[in-house]
Amino acid sequence: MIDLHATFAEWVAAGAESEPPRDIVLHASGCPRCLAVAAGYDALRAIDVGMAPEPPIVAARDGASVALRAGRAFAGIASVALIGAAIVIGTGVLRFGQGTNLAAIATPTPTAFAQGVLGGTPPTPTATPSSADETADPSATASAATSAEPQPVPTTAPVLTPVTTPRATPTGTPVAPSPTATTAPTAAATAVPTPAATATPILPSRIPTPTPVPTAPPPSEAAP
Amino acid sequence: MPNRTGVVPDQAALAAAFRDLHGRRLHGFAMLLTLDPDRAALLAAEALAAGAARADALRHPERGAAWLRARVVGAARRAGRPAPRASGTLELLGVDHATAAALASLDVASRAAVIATITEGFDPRDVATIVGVEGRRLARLVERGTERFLAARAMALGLVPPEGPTIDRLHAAARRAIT
Repeated sequence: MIDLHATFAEWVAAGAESEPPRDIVLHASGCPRCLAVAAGYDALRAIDVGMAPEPPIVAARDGASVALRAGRAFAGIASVALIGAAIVIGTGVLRFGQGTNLAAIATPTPTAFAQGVLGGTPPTPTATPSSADETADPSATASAATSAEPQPVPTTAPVLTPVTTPRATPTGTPVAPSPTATTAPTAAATAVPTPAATATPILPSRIPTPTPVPTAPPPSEAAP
Repeated sequence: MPNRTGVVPDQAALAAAFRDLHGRRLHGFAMLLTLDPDRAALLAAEALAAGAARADALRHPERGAAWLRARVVGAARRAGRPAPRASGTLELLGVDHATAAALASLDVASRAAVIATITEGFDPRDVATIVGVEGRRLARLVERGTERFLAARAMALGLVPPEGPTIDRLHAAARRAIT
């Protein structure tokens, strides 16, 4: 079923240019709702925007508004502050690295762990008293630092020596057993000859064909 | 050196012609769009100043008019939906209370599309520039905006007997159909 009101309103909204269908015309001419729609369209078209007065003269804005300028200024200040903070943090880290021995701070826990695993005896209690007795006896901290550093070196040295010795011994000794080398060529020879034998008969068949050619020139030379 | 309108003197004549060509109609468009005479004057003046500064690039009347209206629409969108006002200035344009109320019931984009299409008769390309919507979306915007406007105005009128040229055409067509 066709909604006559909606169809008429669509015709008006589309510009009301062509004449609508007969049934729509008969309905809309007596329908207050459709007539009101048509009157609204006429009212919209009857507006004359040219009757407005001249607008006041103002200066053209040269680009950004106040809020935009404030935003840009804030972004600039924030970026400068960020760079400054990065510089301060960076210099602070460098000063911290110069003033204190980072290796001395970092080594106690690995050595304690290594000693706990290898020796089974926890030496960590010796590290905390040494930091407490810094002011009283500086030599104690130095001895604790030196006793902690050499321990990793002996553990790495024994690991390297077994690796080098197995490489040297196999390369020197296997030269003597020659029978293993003789068996290898026999296996390779049995595999290679079968394709090589098929290839070699072809070459001799090509060789005889050139041989009659050299025989022809001598008769031509002999004729004159 | 720029004068107080921000226009270089050798372009002043072109800017004055630009203002004469677009000023009133742009102001009327802004009044219909904002339904607020004070704000419409400000928006139209700012858009006109910006357009006059580049009058050389906006020589084409239709393209220039569309550019100016697009600027007004952009500013009106940022301001939000207006409150309907009964204004003597709007009556100068032929806007009655029911029409103003119906326009106020639309959003800014629909209002701009309806005014630019039906009232001012812009080409769809220029309406697309004004509203910032193209193709089928623009056609839907105009159609739905018009339907909503017509329905809202019919509601605002109540039992007032309607009249107008389209209604006269309709009655004439009905008489021809009957006889």
